[in-house]
Amino acid sequence: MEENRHELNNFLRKKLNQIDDTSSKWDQPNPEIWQDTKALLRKGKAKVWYLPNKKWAMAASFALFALVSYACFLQIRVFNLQQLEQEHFVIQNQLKQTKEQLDTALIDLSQVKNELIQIQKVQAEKLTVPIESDAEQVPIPPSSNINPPEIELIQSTSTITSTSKQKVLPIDIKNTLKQESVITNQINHSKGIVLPPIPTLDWSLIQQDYQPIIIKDEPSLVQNIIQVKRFNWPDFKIELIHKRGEHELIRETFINYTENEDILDIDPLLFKQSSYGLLGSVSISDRLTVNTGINIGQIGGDWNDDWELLVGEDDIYEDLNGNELFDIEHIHGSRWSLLFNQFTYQNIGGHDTDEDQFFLFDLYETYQFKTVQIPVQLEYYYPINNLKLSGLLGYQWNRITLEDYYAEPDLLHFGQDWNLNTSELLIEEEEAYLGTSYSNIQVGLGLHIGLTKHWGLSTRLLFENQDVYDTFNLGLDTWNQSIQFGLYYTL
Amino acid sequence: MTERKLIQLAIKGKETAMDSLYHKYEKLWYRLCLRYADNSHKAQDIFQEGLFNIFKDLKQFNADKAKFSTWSGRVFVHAALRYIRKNQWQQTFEELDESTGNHPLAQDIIGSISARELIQVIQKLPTGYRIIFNMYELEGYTHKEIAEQLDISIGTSKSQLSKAKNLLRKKIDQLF
Repeated sequence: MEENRHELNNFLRKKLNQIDDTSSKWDQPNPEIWQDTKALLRKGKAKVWYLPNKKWAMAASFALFALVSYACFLQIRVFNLQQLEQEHFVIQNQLKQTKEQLDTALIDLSQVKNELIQIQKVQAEKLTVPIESDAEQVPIPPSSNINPPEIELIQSTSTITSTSKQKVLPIDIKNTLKQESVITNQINHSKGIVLPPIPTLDWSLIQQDYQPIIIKDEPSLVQNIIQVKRFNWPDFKIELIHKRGEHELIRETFINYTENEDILDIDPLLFKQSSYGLLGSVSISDRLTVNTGINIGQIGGDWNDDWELLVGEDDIYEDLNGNELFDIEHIHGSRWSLLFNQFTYQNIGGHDTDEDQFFLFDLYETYQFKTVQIPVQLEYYYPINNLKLSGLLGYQWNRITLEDYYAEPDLLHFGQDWNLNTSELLIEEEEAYLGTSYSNIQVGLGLHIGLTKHWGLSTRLLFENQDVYDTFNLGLDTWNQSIQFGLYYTL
Repeated sequence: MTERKLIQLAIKGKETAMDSLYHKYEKLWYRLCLRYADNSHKAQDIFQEGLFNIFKDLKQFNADKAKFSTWSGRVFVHAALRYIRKNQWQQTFEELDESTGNHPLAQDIIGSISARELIQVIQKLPTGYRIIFNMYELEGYTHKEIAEQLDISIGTSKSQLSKAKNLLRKKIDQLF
């Protein structure tokens, strides 16, 4: 049989190669083809590009695209880090300026107080001089005439703008000093004691209300391992997704320094994110699939670019001779966090800190969040040879809860002879009860390339609209993008 | 000038050598393309792709392993398969309801028609039949090689060849 085949083959080949009917040129190719081919060979490229070169060129293009995308991601990340560094630098500078202003104010305040004490002593001496004394009677000046020239200097620092976050400290030293000078004239003749003789600054309350947080997806590298299982109908696909990247958490802080001063502060906090998830896809037609699943992960990190200002309250009681009877110092403030936690700071002690009415401290904080994401997506595939382009439209529900929180204050010293230890600053009533939900719309573009019968590569560029819980109507809605890279296997 | 020398010069880009090679084999190559295509327009597309690939990959030709005609013929077959895969692969190997009667091809039947007529008859075969008939009967592929190349089973290859022959026989009969 094999012999017959060879005979037939040979006969057929001879028949097909025999030169017959040459006048019709039916077996003569168009001469232009050869000329065109030579031109293409000179240019080094083909008119049409077939496998396997096409396959590997596609893979190379894909790798190049992935590299460029990743480079862009890194560039954006570096840019963000540079921005943060710049902001940090500005904050540091402003902090330094604030410290200098506070130091100046404290020194000036100290001088004013010393002069006032001297004036009070002189007045007290004159008032305690017996009527029957032969000494010349010293007239008591009216309180309005007491203000020394230094007060003007203090007024110039009465409102201190401290950082780019626009934390304004409404320190009304002028009014306080006026009040003080009135107080100094209130004399208890029966006991011969002046109460209280030292300026009392009543700025003890610092209140911060943390409003709902928003997770903002920064451009992030997402690695997918996609496993595809095919049934007759409908096609069913399971994707194992691993995401790594950075998330920006926006914290809206409401600070209430006084009854009349409300300050809104928005801090961007950048945290590392890692999550794992399952995404199932069901095809509803040749080109359309519905994807849904769940993605569980963690966001966490340290944040120490935050600082607070507390104001001390110092009550010193003296006798009429200016001798200190007792000194009670309160350094206290409270921070009220609606979503994170609540805690208060207190320090009560006998420090002689009448020159140090203010102090700042850094707050070193560690956050750990748990995230749950449930997407529902429609993905449309458009095949071009081995390549598939896809368009994606989706909705994602997100839940975020605070799992763990830790804060440690780090004092910055101000004024002279400040001697307060960190351990003396207490954080009390720590309690975490954050929990918030939000949703976003997803729009994406995908590229899927089959390398072999089973293996392929895919990538998706995903844009997500954040539905921001914006209690202050600041219009913080944003679109954020992420890039996914995947390797899939078809059974 | 020997064929080997012509090929060496063509590899170096000598246009005269390339022209010589082309003119020596153009009809052989083009007839092969005509057999795989169902009309001359498609044959010319396949011809251009195969031609480009031959001169682009000429360095890969090893004269110690195969004749140039055999190697170049395989290049054209691959070009034809890629072309067909790209344009009409889906219906290529669908089972056709053709008569399963046994109509063996015999030399006496084929011998009575011209090469042009034979190619025209082959062109009228369904694509799947045509490809397998060409590959098995004329290019000398085995069923196993055909099955691997076309991603089909060996059984399908055998079945399609049998049906192709029967259909070819019927079509040749219709000529008379």
